[in-house]
Amino acid sequence: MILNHILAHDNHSSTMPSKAISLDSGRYIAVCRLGEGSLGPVLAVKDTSASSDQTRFLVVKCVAKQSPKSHALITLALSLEARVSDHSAVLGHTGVFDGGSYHGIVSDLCQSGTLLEAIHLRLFHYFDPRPVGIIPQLADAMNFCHKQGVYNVDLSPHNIFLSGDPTSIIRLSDFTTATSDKKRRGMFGRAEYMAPGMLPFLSFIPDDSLDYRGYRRKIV
Amino acid sequence: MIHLTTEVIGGKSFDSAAADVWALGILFVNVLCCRSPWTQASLVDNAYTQFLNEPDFLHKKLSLTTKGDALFLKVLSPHASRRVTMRKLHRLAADVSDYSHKFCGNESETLPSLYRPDLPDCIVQEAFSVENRHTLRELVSMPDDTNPLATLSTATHSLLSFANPASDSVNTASPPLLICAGWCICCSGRLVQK
Repeated sequence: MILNHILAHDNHSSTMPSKAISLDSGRYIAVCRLGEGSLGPVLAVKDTSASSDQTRFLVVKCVAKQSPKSHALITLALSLEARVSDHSAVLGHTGVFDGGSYHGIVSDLCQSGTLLEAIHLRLFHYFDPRPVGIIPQLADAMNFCHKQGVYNVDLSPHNIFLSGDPTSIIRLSDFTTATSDKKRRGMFGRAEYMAPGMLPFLSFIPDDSLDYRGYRRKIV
Repeated sequence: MIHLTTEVIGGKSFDSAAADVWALGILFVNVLCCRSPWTQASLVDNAYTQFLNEPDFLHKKLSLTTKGDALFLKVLSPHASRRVTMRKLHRLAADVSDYSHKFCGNESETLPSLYRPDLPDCIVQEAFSVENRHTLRELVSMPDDTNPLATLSTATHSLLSFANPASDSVNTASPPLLICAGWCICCSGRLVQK
């Protein structure tokens, strides 16, 4: 398990950075970087406030304070997250702290990593995802979010975590780009996952009366 | 690949729900073939324009069944108003086993790879090449010196581990998940932006 690896390395100071990076006035110690969110890094941290016989690892998502509005952004993200946190596929936060130049959103560590890693390791090339039901589970979770009026969850394999429970594997984690507005302007998330109308240049939405497969012939 | 930060720029408004359906469609392609269909849905992207021109594009790349092809054309419709609703997609996704003849990986080499700068494709492909193909159970029990996972781990400084459910509950219907924490403890000095 990842935790065992982390624990094993924990005792060998030579493999750790010379100066431990602490967050939230020393409550959390950064262990490794799990990935890159749209507004800052996502770190695995050790919780030093846990009792000494039990080491607890958490994930801290850092959200850079880009503007005075960032606090409102976090508040909105957490309130939207609260609307859908009843669903088993939503990874709720366990705490928030102010780290000076950033806000930290704390949540539990999903031991199976992210969907991106699973895809990149060709996991589904060797193990058919159908028995695991990744696709129906994703659709179910997103359908639930929409029913609760939460849209534009930053859907990408980077921030979908995997749990060890096969009946409910996925964990949606990032609600910082979410909205309850049915219509919206701007760009959110990663370019790969953006629908045609969201991209700023050469974003082409064919005329409603045209069959889109034929649009190219028509404009060339 | 462009990584865009969240920022609001001018432009036309779009339908939030339909944008989610699109993103979910791309995510399905990721899972089905380990690749993304295009880097961005705009006319500067060759794969996307090819998709718009050739009705068979996804069908060929993902070895979809007729039913699967029909679904993806509805989900990845450039037209927000013609895209299926999330509610309908939820119903349709339950039948996912009818959508693809096989779950392909290497067959779709021409599609853009998922971005992972610290884990070069060649290393993953070497460790998981056809000759080295093993069942997960075999991999777990293999000694370190011949275990492709060990090679991968050394080569990439990645943490590899298994989310191994209690051994009595392991069965073929719910294979344990292979996991990779992505960033090695040895490299955690890189916590500062590379």
